[in-house]
Amino acid sequence: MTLLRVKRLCLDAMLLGVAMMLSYLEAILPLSAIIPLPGAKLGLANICVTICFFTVSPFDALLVSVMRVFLMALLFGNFSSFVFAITGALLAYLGLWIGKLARRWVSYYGISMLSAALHNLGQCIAGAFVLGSTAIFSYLPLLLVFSLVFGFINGAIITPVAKLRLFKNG
Amino acid sequence: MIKGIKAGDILIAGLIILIALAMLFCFFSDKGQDGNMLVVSCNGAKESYPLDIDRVLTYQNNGYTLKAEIKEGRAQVIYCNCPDRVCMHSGAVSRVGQTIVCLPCKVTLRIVGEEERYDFIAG
Repeated sequence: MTLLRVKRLCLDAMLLGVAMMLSYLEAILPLSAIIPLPGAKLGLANICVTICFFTVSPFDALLVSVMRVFLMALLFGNFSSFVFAITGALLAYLGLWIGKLARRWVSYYGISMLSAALHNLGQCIAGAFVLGSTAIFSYLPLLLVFSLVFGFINGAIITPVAKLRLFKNG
Repeated sequence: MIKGIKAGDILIAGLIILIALAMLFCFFSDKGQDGNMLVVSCNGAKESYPLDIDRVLTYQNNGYTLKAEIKEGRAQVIYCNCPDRVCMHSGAVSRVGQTIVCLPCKVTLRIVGEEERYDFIAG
């Protein structure tokens, strides 16, 4: 049992580290110059959270997700970027739960797309609060289309990685 | 087909596309029409400017400066010192429903048509 706990801690820490690296990679990619949409991101960090959710446990995934957002905001962001990221991350987490409950009918592709779409919805809600204006919702349709594309790409990455079964009994 | 895709995945993708299309239809049903007012929301406070009078608007908020220009019926962010510059990359807007948002500055610019009236008109 002790071994199991240590392994779980190590896996969580490793996934958190990878998630932070991917977030950083995303931040330095000049994606916003190609796609002029606020919040259009690859969502690579969600790969780690999804893998954690389905191979370690949902609780660990929540920890990894919240810790990543908190640490990234602490290192590179400010309060308003934290609000955006945390709302998006929590809604994406909700998407993972929906995916888990409907696991029989959906694969990682669907789960990833759903969670990306919910992430964008969360960002728009946070944006409406921060800006005090609902104008930002006019970006949502396009963001949803991008979430499908990026969600699909993430699904294609998650599928083989999840098969590795990182968390196989001790 | 890609291996491993299930029926639910297609359902999810279809639903998201449907929602996106429905939202597009709601927001831009009168798109194509040229708007005649620019509504600027800065930190929640709204101001309207007619598009037929050329002018440069300067906003300072949240530690950033944003300059928007109204010229020949089009509005554009010409200068902003925010980190991502999404607002500048958005280009010029002129049609009803088109929007430019600068998140770091907390400024939104939105084109509206004749029927949308706001409480007061500044300038």
